[in-house]
Amino acid sequence: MATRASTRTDDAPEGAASLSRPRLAQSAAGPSLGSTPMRLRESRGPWTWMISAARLGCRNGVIVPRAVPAWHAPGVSANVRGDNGAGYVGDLKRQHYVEIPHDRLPCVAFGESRAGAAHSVYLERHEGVSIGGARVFRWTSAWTRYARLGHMTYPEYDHAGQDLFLHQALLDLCTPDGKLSPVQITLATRPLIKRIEAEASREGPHARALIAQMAAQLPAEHVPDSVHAILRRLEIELTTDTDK
Amino acid sequence: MAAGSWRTGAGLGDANIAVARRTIAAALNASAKNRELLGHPVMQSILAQDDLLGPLLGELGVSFGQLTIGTGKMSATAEGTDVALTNYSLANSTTITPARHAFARAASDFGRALQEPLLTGELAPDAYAMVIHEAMMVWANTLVDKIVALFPSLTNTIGTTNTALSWSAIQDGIIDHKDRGNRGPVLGIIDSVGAKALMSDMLSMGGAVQWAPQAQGAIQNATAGAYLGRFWEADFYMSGELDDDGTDTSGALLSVGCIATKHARVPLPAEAMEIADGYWFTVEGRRTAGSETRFDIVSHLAAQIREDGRGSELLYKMT
Repeated sequence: MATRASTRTDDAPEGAASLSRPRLAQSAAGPSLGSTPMRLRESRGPWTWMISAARLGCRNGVIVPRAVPAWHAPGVSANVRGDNGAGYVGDLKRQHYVEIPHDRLPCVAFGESRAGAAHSVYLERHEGVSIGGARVFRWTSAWTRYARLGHMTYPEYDHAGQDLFLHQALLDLCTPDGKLSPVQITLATRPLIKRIEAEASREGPHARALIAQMAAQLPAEHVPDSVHAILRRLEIELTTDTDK
Repeated sequence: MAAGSWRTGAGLGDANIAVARRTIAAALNASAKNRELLGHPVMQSILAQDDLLGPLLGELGVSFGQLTIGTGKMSATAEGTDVALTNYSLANSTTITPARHAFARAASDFGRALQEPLLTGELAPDAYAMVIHEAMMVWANTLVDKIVALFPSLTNTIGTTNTALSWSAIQDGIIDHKDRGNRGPVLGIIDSVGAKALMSDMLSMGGAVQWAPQAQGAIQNATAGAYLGRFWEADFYMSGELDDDGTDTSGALLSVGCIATKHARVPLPAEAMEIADGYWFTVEGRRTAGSETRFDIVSHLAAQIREDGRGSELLYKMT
């Protein structure tokens, strides 16, 4: 019976080993890991982001719309087969949401322009294999990409890029003059401020960590005196994830 | 293994069988959590309502309208004076259109990998029973996926963007939930990140919360599967199906009537080899043109938010 030991490179003609890759350097199971497809979990499919002038939040010091993914998959919301999510989009439009177009807004992810992207400026389709070995597609926002470490597939995020895009979409699509109104600023910041004030009634390092995390989401210019006072009392310095 | 009367002094050598018996058992997987959700009263209610709507006889879907009644008050009116009429108002008309969903297995896979004499463990000792069993699980995964897809579009939100889920955030959310008129069973669905944040916060609370029986139950329930515990009389479960936007995860707190599903029963034609009618799904044995026989698991279903105020999105930092 042939053994792997008999397939040594020194069986090759003299000089050949220096020109080709040693055979034992190749994986016994087939192609090297470098060419193995990424292991991914299949996702529901593409979506259209819908935003509302009145559904807002703060992330890392930026006011962003709370974007709702109107999935294109049939069987979700009012979608019917083949309508590319028109049912769900229509449902949300009736609730005063507007859609973020897949092709119009300028978009930068991981420092590169998304102009001319295959499917959408803000969506990316990743190809990989499922745990069972089937070919799968996973849709993510353009600010998520996958890398591999050993057997692991792990995501990388460009949070700042995504927040900037959503903030600009909010200004372009949901404000008449490209500026947030005082009501919108209140809607975005008030939940965080109320939560910070509620947590401030507790003692201990856990509450302190929560307060620091929440305060870091507020835009610096919209941190009220009440929150400044809490931060001073607890000796918390304002930082955002993107500062770290 | 003894060599026996082999004409060799070197033992069996290459004739040896390295592994004699092979047993195959159903592998552990995280989608088991989806089936646990199905037993909750809120999910049971969704399916019961689905069933009560009856079969779709030529219609593409069903529609829900929410009739507002019982909110008015009588006004002081003199005798002999007409009172202004109050019109009925129908709001939130919602359409649900079931779509066909399918999952298939090739029969040849059974012959190759799952021959009956080798089966042990949790698998049924019959390939047909196994495919029917799997059909139920695949249907449950699909149903849960359709329902969780709706969580980001729930209008009411508990928690804040890019921050960990906390006890007091849910506490406030529960009060808002009650304030909207809700009562009855509540189902909370979060993922393991949300569950860890919530438990960690709970343990840091001290006193009334930390030592509450519910908190103790949550600490000790390694055997309870996806069920985390009952807090604020809401049953919290873990799910691996929740969506995120790269920063925040969307779980939910649901009451009866928040979400509706509709299944369309599509009976197989007489010539079809029906392996099983699972009511919510069918399993058909098929032979595709010139190919091997396959098993098609099919369900026609859709999910939709029926009444927004009966639920809330649970929003929290994804990692």
